[in-house]
Amino acid sequence: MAYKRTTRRRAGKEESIINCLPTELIEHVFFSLPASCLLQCTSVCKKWRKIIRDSQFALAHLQHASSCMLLFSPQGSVSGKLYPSDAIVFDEAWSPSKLAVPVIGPDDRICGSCNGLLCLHTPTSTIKIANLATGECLHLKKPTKSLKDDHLSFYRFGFHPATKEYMVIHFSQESSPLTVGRFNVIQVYTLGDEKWKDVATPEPLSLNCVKNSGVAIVDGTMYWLAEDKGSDWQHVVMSFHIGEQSFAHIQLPAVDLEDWALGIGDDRHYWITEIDGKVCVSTAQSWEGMLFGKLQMWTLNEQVGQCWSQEYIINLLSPFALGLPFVNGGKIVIQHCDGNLCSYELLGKNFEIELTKMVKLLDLSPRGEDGMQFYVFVKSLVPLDVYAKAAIVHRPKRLGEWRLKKWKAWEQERVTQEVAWRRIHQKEHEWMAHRRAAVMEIKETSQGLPDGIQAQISMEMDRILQHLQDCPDQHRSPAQQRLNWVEMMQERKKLSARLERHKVMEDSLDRAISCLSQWQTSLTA
Amino acid sequence: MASAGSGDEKAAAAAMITLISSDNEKFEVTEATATLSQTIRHMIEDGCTDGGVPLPNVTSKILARVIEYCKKHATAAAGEEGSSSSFSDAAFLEVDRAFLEELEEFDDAFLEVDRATLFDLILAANYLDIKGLLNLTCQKVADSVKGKTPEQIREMYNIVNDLTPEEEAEIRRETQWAFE
Repeated sequence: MAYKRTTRRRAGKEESIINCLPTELIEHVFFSLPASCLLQCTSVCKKWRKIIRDSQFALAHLQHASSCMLLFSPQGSVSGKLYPSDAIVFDEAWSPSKLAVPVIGPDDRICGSCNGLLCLHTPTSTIKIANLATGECLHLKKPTKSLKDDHLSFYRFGFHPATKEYMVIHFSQESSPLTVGRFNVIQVYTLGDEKWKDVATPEPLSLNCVKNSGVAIVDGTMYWLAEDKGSDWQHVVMSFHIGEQSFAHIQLPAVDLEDWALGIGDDRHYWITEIDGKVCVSTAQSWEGMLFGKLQMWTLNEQVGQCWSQEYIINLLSPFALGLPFVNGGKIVIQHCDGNLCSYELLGKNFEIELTKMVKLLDLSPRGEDGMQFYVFVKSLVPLDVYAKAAIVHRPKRLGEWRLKKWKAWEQERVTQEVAWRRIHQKEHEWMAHRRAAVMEIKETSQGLPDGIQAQISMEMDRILQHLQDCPDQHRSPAQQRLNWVEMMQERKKLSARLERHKVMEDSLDRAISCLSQWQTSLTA
Repeated sequence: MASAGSGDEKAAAAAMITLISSDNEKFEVTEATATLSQTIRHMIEDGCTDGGVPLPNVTSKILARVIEYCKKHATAAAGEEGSSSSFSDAAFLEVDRAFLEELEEFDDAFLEVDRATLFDLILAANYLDIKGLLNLTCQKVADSVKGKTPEQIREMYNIVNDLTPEEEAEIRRETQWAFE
């Protein structure tokens, strides 16, 4: 130990100029650094580590962090192939993350995102609160007595800005539309508490949450869409005030019905989201599983007796995937029917989407909209160990394979892709290192040959040289870290293009060689 | 109404305040310039600026730079106030944009100082409570740290690595699940 100390920079002759600043000013400097950079900075010195890992600092830092979009894609299968759950985070420039998020398991479902924390759960295990940026996880026991009934559970995760508390809210939905179960108790767990608390509803509520319709938590109140039995299964907005623990119904805004849709039955969809700190209800008509016509967006005005005001009317001139649209930072993100996730500048209150002005963000094919969810996300340093009372905090033990049998095919595919990558990489390397020189040489020696043969050989060699130009000599190995499924699809496309190119080069070389040997045989004959 | 308003502004602008640095140098500035500092603004409000404002924490060299910053930004603030009434006017917006660009250029040039001066400016901005200057200077330091390895940061700022090998191992464990 003592020896090691002396090998480090000799201490203390000249105090560091930055560490001479009062702590509050060092914090001020840190506010303008992103969470990922600050995490690296924890290993600069004790003082920096202490500042950055402080929970008060983490909350203050959050106020300075810019929000971005997180796309959660739950596990689902397309033509027999099962895709794992994963999240894709878009940075400030809207470019998507490429690596799989380590804290998200392949079977995880999401029940909320706030302050950089995601709340995840799987039907068979615990509820997991995870900080994506730091990788810290907190595991909670579920409130249901038997995990068998857990598929009826509705979980949500939110933050109460007044009390600065994080909460997980749970209720059991009715088991079937026929039995019309009612719930008269809702369970709330406050992070850091000993156990779940039951909150009785003033009257039994026969409510559920409309599938894939979104949930918004704004100013400590949770809003979701339910089907109200009392009003003929019409959609209604339910709200639960976390602090006061009170419930309310809010009628949906009166929507302009579109003439063209009247004949094809009422296939109107509603979603609830958050836009710039306000609760937003979006609605559009669908036909044959695609969104058509006008996308109407309304925001709730809490101050003026809970009335809705129309925020946007967006005319979708071509079909879009049936899914919850997302609005943030003056842009709307929506999935086109060709599978591409696109962003579009919000041009005023009432406009048409021009296809040529759409900015492609991500290719989500072959997966459709099946339950894709958008969240506002910030990379935060919020520590979770301070909440470890009834909960267990830990990090996953190792970057293991996914053990469950159903992921075997996925893991195999991942390994195959990796092997293919290594092979093609090696081949390309060979071409670059050795064959390139050989190609140049062949081309040169062919100069003295008869015109016809020379022309053919040099054409083949030129083709090879041209393809060699496109060969990437530096490539990150996909094996180092797990890619998310979108990137895996992209990587596969790139691999087949590289294989194709390799084949073309080999064929050209073969043709040149056979051309040469033919000529030689004709000479000896 | 309008003429009365601008008359008041003129009167306010004409009022001069004397700032005294730690090495006893005197700087005469307009009240509009001085009140960019919340600390001095409070002193003026309390009426304790007669005979000059002593600033024992700021040297004349740094104070001169701070005043340079405040002068530029005070005129910027005055310009903004003047144009806010005709916000919809495109011509005014154009002027505003040009002005903001100029201000940005000024800020960039202003930050071209050695490290010791930069940190003195941070301390002065904090003491005088000049929010814009504090943000500007802290951002400059943050930018210098961004994208550097811990080792490079220690090198740059002469920081001693006082973490024990155990702590370093713990940090490595902590950050291996981080997601960028």
